[in-house]
Formats: sequence, C-alpha cells, structure tokens
Amino acid sequence: MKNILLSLVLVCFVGSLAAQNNAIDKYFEQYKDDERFTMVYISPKMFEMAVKVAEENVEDEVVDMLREIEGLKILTTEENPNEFYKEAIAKINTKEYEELMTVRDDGQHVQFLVKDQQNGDIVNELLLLVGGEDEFVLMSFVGKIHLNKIGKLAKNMNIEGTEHLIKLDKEE
Amino acid sequence: MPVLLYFYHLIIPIMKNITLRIFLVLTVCLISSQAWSQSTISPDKMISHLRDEGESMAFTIPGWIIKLAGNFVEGDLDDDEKEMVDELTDHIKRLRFVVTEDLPSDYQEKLDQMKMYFQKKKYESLIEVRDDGSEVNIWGKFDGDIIENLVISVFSEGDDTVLFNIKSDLDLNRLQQMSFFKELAEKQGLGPDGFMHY
Repeated sequence: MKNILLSLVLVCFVGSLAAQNNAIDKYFEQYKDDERFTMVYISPKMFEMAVKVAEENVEDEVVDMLREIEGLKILTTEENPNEFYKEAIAKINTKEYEELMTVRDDGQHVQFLVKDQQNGDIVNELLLLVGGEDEFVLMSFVGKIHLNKIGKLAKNMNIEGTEHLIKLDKEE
Repeated sequence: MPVLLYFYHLIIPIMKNITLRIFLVLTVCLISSQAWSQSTISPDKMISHLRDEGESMAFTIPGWIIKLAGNFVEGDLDDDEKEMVDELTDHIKRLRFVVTEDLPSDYQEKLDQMKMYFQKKKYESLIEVRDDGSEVNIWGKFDGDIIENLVISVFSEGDDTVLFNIKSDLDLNRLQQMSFFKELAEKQGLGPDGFMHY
C-alpha cells in the first residue's frame, strides 16, 4: 500500500514536470504553422552536427556550450503582439520558473525566465518572452545553458529574436 | 486407436489455433504494409510526383558529374574553398531535385506522407524555419557521423518550390578538419582566441 502511494506521488510529480514542458511545446505546436508567426526550430541533432564541425575550429568554450544545448525554438510575430504575449503568460505557468531579468523599455516587456539554476550561471532551460506594441517573441533554449556566455553566442547567431539575449551579456 | 483419438482431440485444436494465429498475423502484416505504402512517400517519389504534376523541372545528377563540375569551378577558388569543394564533390553520390512553380492540390497531403516516411526511416529533423510565407525544412539520415541522406525543402509562396534529395557519405569528422570552417568561425568571431575576448 505504501509503495503504491509512493508510486502515485512520483507519477504525479513527474507528470506535473512534463506538463510544464508540454505547455511550451503545445504553444509552439499551436502556432508553428500559423502564417502570422516567424518560426525557427533547431533540433538537438543539428546542434550535435554543429559541435562536430565546430570542434576543431571554434573556441573550446563555444563548443562546450553548443554541446550542452539540446534544442532551440523561436516564435515571433508583429501581429497583435500583446495578445499573444498575454496568452503565452496565461498558458505557460511562469511560476515554475525563476525570474532572471525583466526589462521594461519603451512599451516593451522582456522577461528572462530560467529553470533549475545550478552553480550560479548554468540553467537547464532559458525562456525568453517579449511582449509589447511592436513584437512578440517566445524563445526556448533547452539543455545546459551558460548564462554568462549565451549573450555572446547570440551576437553571432543572426536569427530574428536572439538579439534580446544580448541583454544577458554582462559586459554589454 | 486411442492414440489417434488423443491426437484428434488434442493436437488438431492446437494446430487449428496455430493456423488461425498464422492467418491473423499474416492478415495484420498485409494490412499494415498496405497502410504503410499508402501513408508514406519517399523523397524520390515526392520529387517524381511534383515533376509529374504541373509545371516543373526535375534533375538527377550522379556523383561523377558533381565531381566533374567541382573540378571546373575549382580554378576560381582559394585553397580552403577548393578543399571544401573537393570534400563535398567526392562524397555526394547523387543529387536529385525538383523546381516547381505550381504545386499540386495534394501537396500538403504528400508532404505529410513524406514526413511520416522520415519518421519511419529514422530521419531526423535538423532545421525548420518559416518566415513571411517562406518555409525551409532540412531532414537528415545519419549513420554515426556519416551523413547518408539530406533532404531540403524550400517553399516560397508565389515563388518556386524546390525539393532536394542528396545522397552522400559525408563524414562530419572530415568536415571538422577543414580550414574553410576555421576561417568561417574566425570571421564570425567564434574562432580560437576570438570568442572569450569578444
């Protein structure tokens, strides 16, 4: 009986963790084919390939950082950005995350949320939400993310939406 | 006689059971293979489908022609680019692609079937990008560090749609040693000694 109860508690716990990731995945799935959105998905395999090719040619720290990134999803739109921002906030339980940084500037609301922060600068998930009059951005990095370096990497990514990550660069 | 009776009463029902099971298994196999062939389409078949429907051009370029073309352009390239072109042209076995202006009405259905094929054949989605009516998808099939197959689809609303199917034995470990990538990384500020002192 005790074992059954323990198992149930465990299942519920694991289920609630999975549900949170599903909320972002569901939101992404819901709008990835919507023509109002720009969508970018880079799979773990692509990061693995990039690491393979970069290994000899790129600074070790960049390679280490890429090696630990498991995927990147970006959704951006300029149509009704505030509505989509509110919807995302409502659907994704942001309480599950720790707020890393919030920037309010010129009608724009930029939120950096992180999950499972370890050793100060490393997190297991980085979620960026941007809302405002101009644009809505949802960006989800999964893997081991080095917060002190991701901004520098973003400078070289040249993908719409990643420019917000530069705000994380402490030297900026 | 009692042995025969025993055989009749015990073995025959078991045999019937086995025959029934074999029949059931065969039926399931037949139905699933039928369903599989109907619900999936390989990239090559997709290219043929797009070629046969509407205004389109399809090309199949064997590896030796790619190598020959590589030799022609090499004269204008620097050493790093030459090395890169050599590596690519040596290891691309076949390139097949289609360029089409008007998509058939069942394009979306066929695209979904091709995605099903990728799932079943263990292809991996590498990149998906959609922006302003344009869509780029890249799928790859790997054997360890060897790229066996790359499928690239570029769909652009009101413009040409292109589907590439590249068969190769490109080794990621070889690409890693190319100075082309080292230079590219340096240009991006990611090269050795470049990143941390950005």
